[in-house]
Amino acid sequence: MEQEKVHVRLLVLAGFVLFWMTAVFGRVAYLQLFLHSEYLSRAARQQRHTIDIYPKRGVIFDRNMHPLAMSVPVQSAFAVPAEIKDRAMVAHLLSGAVGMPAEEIREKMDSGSSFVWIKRKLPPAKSEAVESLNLKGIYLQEENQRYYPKRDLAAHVLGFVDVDEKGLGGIEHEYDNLIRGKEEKIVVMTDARQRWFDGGEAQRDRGVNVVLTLDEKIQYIAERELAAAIEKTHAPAGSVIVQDPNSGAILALANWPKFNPNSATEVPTEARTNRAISDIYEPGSTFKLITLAAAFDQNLIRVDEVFDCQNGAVTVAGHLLHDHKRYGMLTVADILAKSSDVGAIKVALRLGSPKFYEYIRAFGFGTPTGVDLPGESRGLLERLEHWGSFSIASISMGQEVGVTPLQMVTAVSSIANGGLLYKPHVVQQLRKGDTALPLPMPSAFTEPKRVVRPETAAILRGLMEGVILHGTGPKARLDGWTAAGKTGTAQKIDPATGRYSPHNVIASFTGFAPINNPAVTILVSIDSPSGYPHGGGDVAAPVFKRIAEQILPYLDVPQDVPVNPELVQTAYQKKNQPEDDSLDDLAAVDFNAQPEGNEESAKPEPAINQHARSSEVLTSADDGGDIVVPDFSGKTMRDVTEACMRLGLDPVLVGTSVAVQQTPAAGAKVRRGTKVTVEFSDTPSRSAKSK
Amino acid sequence: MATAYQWGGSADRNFPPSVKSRQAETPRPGLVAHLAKSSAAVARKKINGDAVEFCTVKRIDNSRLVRQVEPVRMRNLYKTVALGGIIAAFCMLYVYQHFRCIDLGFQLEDLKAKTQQAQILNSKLKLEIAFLRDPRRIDVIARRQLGLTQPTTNQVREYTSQDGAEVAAMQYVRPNRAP
Repeated sequence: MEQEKVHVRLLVLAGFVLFWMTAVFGRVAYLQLFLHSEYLSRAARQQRHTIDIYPKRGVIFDRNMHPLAMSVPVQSAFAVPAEIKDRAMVAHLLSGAVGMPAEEIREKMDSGSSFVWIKRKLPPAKSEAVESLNLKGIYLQEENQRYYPKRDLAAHVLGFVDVDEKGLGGIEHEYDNLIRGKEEKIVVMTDARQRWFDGGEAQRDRGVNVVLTLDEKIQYIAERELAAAIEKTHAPAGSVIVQDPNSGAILALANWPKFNPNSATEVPTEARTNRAISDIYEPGSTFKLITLAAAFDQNLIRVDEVFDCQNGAVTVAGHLLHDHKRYGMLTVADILAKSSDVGAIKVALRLGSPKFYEYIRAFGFGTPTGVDLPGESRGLLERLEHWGSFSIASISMGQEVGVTPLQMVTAVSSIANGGLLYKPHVVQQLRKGDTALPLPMPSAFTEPKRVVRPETAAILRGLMEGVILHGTGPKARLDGWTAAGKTGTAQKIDPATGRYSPHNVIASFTGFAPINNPAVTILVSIDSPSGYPHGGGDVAAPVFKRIAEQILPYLDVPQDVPVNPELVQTAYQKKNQPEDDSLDDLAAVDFNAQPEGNEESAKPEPAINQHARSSEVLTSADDGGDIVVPDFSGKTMRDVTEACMRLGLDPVLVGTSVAVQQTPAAGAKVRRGTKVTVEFSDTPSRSAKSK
Repeated sequence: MATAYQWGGSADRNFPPSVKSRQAETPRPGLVAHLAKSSAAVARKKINGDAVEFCTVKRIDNSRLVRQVEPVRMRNLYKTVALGGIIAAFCMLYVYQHFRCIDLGFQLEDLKAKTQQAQILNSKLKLEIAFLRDPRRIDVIARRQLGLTQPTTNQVREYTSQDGAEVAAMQYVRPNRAP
């Protein structure tokens, strides 16, 4: 009986287990066989997410691969209002983290959208603060923020972007499709905690990198000198262009006013205008280069040919025109050097309107140059059939024609390089990783066009040198290099009267250096300088000189003018700031828009003062030191060392025996810790100053 | 070993002596009951007729019995077990790989995230380097903090030949006085 009971129980248990297993496996079979597709699709919906991948915008480099514009990932905060229960509290907590008023945040949440941006592109500190709050319904999304680490350097060339990293202006706009890269969507698998466990095979496209022809140092020199000239002349605007005449590459393009692309939307539109390519001005006397170039190329005039400038007055088509000075008989060279309007008119009359018009168009005026920047103006040149009877006279002296600074410098470059007109360009190369890409068609290299014969260009170069040596541009004369150029003082139209204003002019100087094998062509244009004198030779020519004298050594251009290198003993700039001056005005990298500091305090001292003294021998001009260097002549090394240590100087001993020469010279005032180089020799002392 | 007994009369009397003796010596309820039943059955049979039936009791001793193994069946059994084991192993391997892949996926995404963080840091450092190399910043430091100034062209000596430059530069080289 007992055995029967056990047997029965075992059977019951077995039956129960069998029933349970049948139920389980039956359910499994049902799910796997009948509901497989439904659960598979449900799992896919839960785990699969489509993510938009925004490629990082390409970097813009200068010609030496120094980055001028680059993108860095940052976080942007957004809200899903449906998931937020207490919006007031969330808004209050967020306001402290992101630095926005709570009311503004609340307003965004109540807008009715399922997705609202709270603040885009937060700096790292603020994004971390938002993340630490860990609020439901508030999320962070990675985006790219465009930064311009050199701030306002080459701002008009670089351009800027909006909040969605769309290029607006400059290279950012012109090459936006390439720099931006291609957006793509990827499918990722996530778990219940939204962690990725299969990120998919995303081919994150990167934007194309752009290598410019600009040199950041040359660009800085140009901007600094332009800013100094603007400050000195109180002019509202100006432009400087530095170009390589042998290729058309733009080495520097500076405009005033300028702006910081990091906060471009906060500046007025006029500050963002690239005046060098979009502003039209009457070139004035600079255009006489074109007049004479055409006449020489047609063999209509000779360098030594004499023209009667009629004591500064001439009548053309019933219009009486006065020269700026009463000139009598001038050679062609003097017509250019002294910038005689009458002389230029007579040359143009000999040339004739059709030929003159042909050469003007050949030099690129009246048509866009094709530079790879947006917003270029074509200039203003009436068609030949619309020329009036006085037009040839006006145009010959640079009036009744509108040119852009870029057109002007390109034309002068053609004279500098022997008569070839190159297309100006700012983009040197496009790169994707290590691969160079071909330039798109408008930017692709085109063969230069010959506009004048090499002999004509050589003649013009000689004449332009005369402008500097004994003409209207002596202030453009360089120390150590030959230079050639032409001044221009173009009167502006007074909008009130519709006539030329005697006060408002555009002072310009366009030149190149050295004369033989020119390395750079520089155009300086100052709009409406105040005060007198305000001509191109007085306002723009010195700027040309300062820029060229800094750029040419930087480019290792050998001097072709022998100079007398006076040995300079000491040359210390007088400090204008107290000892504890710091760089507080230059803020550290802030991953928000970098606000400008105080321009006045941040502006470096203009280089006007030191360059004005370039012909003087500078000796002991130190104003900051108080240690007088003793005379070490004839002293032994031990004596020299002891004396230096006593005075707090750093001795540099060269040679053996007794001292024969020293730098700084005896009597110079230096600061504590200054290096004093003393040469020792057995031979008698040489002259202290080597000539 | 079977023992034949003659049956007759009542069940009581006709028990063979061996059975009786066994009953007296070692009463075994099961066997006794069985034998009693058998006896009853035999007895009933005897009562119904005159036939004499002999009942043999088989004493079966299986302790020394060796089971004969069937090789074919065992081989089939082994094959079946092996096959089942392989299938089970494959199933387990599949499941293991599946979850291992998922786990590796998590690790891979973690590493990708770390790589991306490193790249972001690298970008930020490059940005900072570019900022520090700003020509305006260096210019301000040089002029205002260090008191440096731009050399004029007269201060720059130019040598037409490299030899001349090298000779001139050697004048200002501090001799190496290291022992």
